[in-house]
Amino acid sequence: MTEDQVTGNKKTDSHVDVVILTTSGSYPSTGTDSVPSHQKVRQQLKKAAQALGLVDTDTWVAKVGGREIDPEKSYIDNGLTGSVRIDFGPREGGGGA
Amino acid sequence: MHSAASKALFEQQTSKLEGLLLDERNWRVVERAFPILDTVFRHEGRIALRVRMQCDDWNEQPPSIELMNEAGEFLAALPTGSNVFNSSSHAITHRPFICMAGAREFHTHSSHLTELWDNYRSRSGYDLGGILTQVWHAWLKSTP
Repeated sequence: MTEDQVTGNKKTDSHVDVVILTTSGSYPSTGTDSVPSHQKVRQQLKKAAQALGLVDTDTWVAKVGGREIDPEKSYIDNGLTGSVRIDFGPREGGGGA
Repeated sequence: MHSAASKALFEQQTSKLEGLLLDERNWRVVERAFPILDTVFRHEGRIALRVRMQCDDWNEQPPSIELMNEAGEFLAALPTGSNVFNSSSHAITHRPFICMAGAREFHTHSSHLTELWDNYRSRSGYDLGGILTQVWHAWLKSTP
């Protein structure tokens, strides 16, 4: 069991409550999805992209609490438990004049 | 693009800049009324950056991006450590500028005249929220 840092609710370690935040909207649009902790983060990102009409997001960056996470790893392998807010958006393009 | 269509697209692409997203990113939207999208980036231990996007004729042309302090004064010099921020004087605006595809100042700069906005505007990450996010990511990697 872990303790949700926001609500203080006890949760099982087998699932995390996930919301994905983008400038095109959130997924799910309200609340969170309960997702297996061993599932790759990428799977939920793909669902979000489809629901929000986002394309070509493979190079986008996913962050939790300001820390970049690896979408090809599971929530557990990314050190994520409880309630998880994933900030998802495009990396900056190259500059230089 | 017709002004009404431009405004509708602007409103569609900025309507989700609210709630949890702004909290998570520590953004404050100062103004969101066509053609202006004016946002402040904050981060602990950093000087805030205000990014005002002039989105007239969106998305026939990319937004002109003005960089200011939180009080709305234009910056004389930009953060360093990311080549997205160019502190030299732009030939048109005569101010430091964002040198990244998706900023009008990039596509009108003499070094990038062949990098046409038309080749970017339908790509992923080049809607208004995407461009703003790209500038934010560059800012987070820069100093101070």
